[in-house]
Order: sequence, then structure tokens, then C-alpha cells
Amino acid sequence: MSGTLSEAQFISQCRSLVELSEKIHDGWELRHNLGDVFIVKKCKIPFSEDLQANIISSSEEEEKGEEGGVGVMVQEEDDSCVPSSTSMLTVEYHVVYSPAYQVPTLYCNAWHDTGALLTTEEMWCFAQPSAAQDKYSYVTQVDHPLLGRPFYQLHPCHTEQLMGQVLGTNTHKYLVSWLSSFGKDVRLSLSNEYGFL
Amino acid sequence: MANDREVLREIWEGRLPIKFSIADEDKGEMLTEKDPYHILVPRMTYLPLLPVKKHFESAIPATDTDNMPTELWYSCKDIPLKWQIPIGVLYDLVGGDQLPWEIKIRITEFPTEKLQRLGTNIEDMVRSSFIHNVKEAGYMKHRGTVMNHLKPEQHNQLWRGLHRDKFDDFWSINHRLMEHIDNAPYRCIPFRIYTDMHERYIQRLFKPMTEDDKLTTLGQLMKQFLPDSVVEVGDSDDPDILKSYEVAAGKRIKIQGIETPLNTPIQWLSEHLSHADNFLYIVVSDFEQLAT
Repeated sequence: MSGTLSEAQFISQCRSLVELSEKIHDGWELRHNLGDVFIVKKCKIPFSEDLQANIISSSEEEEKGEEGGVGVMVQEEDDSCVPSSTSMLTVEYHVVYSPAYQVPTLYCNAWHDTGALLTTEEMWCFAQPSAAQDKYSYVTQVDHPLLGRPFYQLHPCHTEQLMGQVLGTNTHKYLVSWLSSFGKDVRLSLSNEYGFL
Repeated sequence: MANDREVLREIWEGRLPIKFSIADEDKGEMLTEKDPYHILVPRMTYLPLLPVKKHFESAIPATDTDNMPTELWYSCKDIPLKWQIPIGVLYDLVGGDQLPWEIKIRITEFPTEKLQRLGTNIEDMVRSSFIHNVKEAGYMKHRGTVMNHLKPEQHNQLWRGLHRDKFDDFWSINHRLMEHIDNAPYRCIPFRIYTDMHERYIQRLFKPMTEDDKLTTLGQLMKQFLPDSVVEVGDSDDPDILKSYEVAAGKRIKIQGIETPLNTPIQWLSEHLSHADNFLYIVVSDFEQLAT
């Protein structure tokens, strides 16, 4: 079965999703840019100790065999580098249609409470890949195709294949099905209510 | 299938003279003074791959005031330059015909909302961005059929060919990405129209051939996606071309630094004037922008 979605289907399913989101106060908004439709959700996600610990261990891994030092220099002796356990990340999710791959694509940006955008290394800790794979081929910054500024993107090259396996004939459920599985990778959860769409 | 090797060679060997110097804002941060760095660079390559940082290394502090590694970025006329766009395209977009092109080096205040970060392994990040585009372009042309049959080692060869300026190594793999499957033109053409560094590019689906087997042209593409950039000029003499176009007054449309005739078939342009990532970069600028 085809794992793709037409742009018209995408737009229609976005509208339904946003309509339901408004009823259950889930925060998804419909946006437009030069005739392109996309959806956006903003939320706060706690920046917990274990996330920070992930960053520390990830940077230790990178130190091995690398000449140039690490991007996140966290020195354990210096407590001022380690944020408190109550800090929150501001996270923005965008779902944008990819005409090239004919699938929806998930974009995500996250900022520390200082206003600083997460670095790629930090985003690799924040994102939880469903399968072990080369991080560079999984989530990286790209220019948001509708806004022209940097956003982290979950690479869409395997979406068609995965959705083809999962979806069967239920193409009207494509967007919700896709968002609930891919969203998990960037800590986005989708209420069960959407299953009734 | 990208048969005109002369053209491919000429495009590959396109060069730009650039003068890099430290921006006034950051001169106070430098450890020593350094003269500007003059270098002739391939249009097809990317800023972070140039030996600029190396040249200024002794003068640039390794870490900044927050004890983080210094992140280099480049600007032209206060416009931060997107490193993931090929240098030739950057020049056509903001260089204003200036030769040598003067680029300022910044080492503070990295504009994180405007520029992508390079992280700790700069080459890996540039390579990843490049391959990401190659995959997308390949998908637009052939869906998965060619790209899925390229082995990782062949991705590497493509990358190395670009990085080390080796035309033959690069094209030995790239020829496959330029293939016609079953002698058909591409499914659609990978292109990006840029009018401004920090606004969205235009990338949409566009077929290289109409349903009645006529080759579509650059003019038709521009008419469809940026109608203000072209004007129709009556019927073309060539029966194979549907409509004839001219660049609108006050505009310039450049591909690889060339003001390409609008009646050129887009299929041919895709095969011969694309950048290394297989995208055709079309830059539209106003005449006023250039008068600086």
C-alpha cells in the first residue's frame, strides 16, 4: 500500500485535527504561508536532570578520539553550568507537507529558559529515536521550507516506507497515525481523542 | 543524460575571488591583527569547507567569553550568510557583482535564529546537509529508484569528489543521479528559487515535459512560481516551445552566475547547471539591490 499522502488530503486532515484540538484545548493552530498550509503547536516541556545527564554522557562519548573538544562543555566541578531541575524548555512543533516526498514532515525547535536555542548535540539528547541510527541522518537543522529559518527536522526519507507498512487502507487516518508515531521521537504526545477522527 | 561534458566542466570550474576580513565589531576580540585573506574559490563548494578558519587560527581565540568554543560565521553587508547554500548562489544573491567579493568574518553573537549551527564536527555537518539535499533531489527525479541503490561508499565518493574538487570522481557517481529511467525525463525537477537570503525559498513540483511531450522551459517555471519575474512575449518561433518569456524590467534571473535564456528547457538545465547537491538554484534579484 502507498505510504504517501496528497497535499489535498494533508490539508483536509490538518483542518480536522485542528478542529478537534480546539475542542480539547490541545493547542494546535492552522497557519498559512503563500498558499501553503501547515500546523503549529507550542508547549513547555520540563528540562529534567536526566536530560542533562544525557547531555553530559553524550559529550563524554564525543570527547573520545575527537581532536576538537565538545560542543557542550559541562565541567562537573563547576555547578553553574548545570541548570536547575525546574527549568523548562519552550518547544514548538510544526507539521509541514513535503511535496518532494509526498508525506508530512515534522519540525521542532526548543529553547532553554534563557532563550537560547538548543544546539544539535542537545537536540540529539532531547529527541528519542525509535531505532538506533546515525544521528546525522535522523534529525538535523534545515531551513524551514515555509519560514526560511533554522528548524530541527525529522528526516522524511523513510516515512513513506514506514507508513506504507502501518496504514493499510485507512488513508483518512494518515496524519494522526503518522503524528502519533513520529511525534514520540521528539516528545510530542497525541491524545487518544484524535483516534476518533 | 548530462552529456554535454564541456558544460559540466565549465560549471564545475566556475570560480569566485573572495576577500575575507575580520568584521569591525569583532576586531577587539582578536588575539592579533591579521591581514585580509584573498582566495579563489569554487562556486560549487560551501563556506565552512574553505581554509579561512585555518588562515586566521592564530588570531582567533579558541573559546568565547562564555567558555564555549568560538563559532565562526560570515556576513556580507550585515547579512548573515547561510553556509548550507553553495557559495556561487550566495554571491548571486547578495554579492552585488562586487569582485573580489568582500565577506566579513564574525566570531561573536552567532545569530542562532538565522543560521544553522555547525556543531563540533564541521565537516560532518556540511556533508550531512549536502547528502540530505542529494537524497531529496534524487527522490524528486526518480523517487527511490536510483538513490536507494547507491551504497554509502558511493555517497562518500560524491562528497569527497566535491570536497576535494575532483570532477571525475564526483561525476562517476553523479552520472547515475542524472540518469533517465526508461528514457523518460525526470518525474519532476529539483529546483529552489531564492529572492532573499532570509526568506523561504520556492520549491514546488514542476514537470520537465508536458502531457503532449513538449519540453518545459525556465520561463514557464518562473511564470508559474514567481510570475512578477517574467513577461510573456508572444508566441515563440520554435514549435516545441509553448510560450516565450523575457525577464521582467528591473529583475535579473541567474543560475550559476549566468543570466540563462528563459527558453532553455528545464530538463537540460537540471542535468547541466545544477549544483553538486543536484538542485538547480535560481536566484532572482532587483537591479536596485546591486547599486551599493
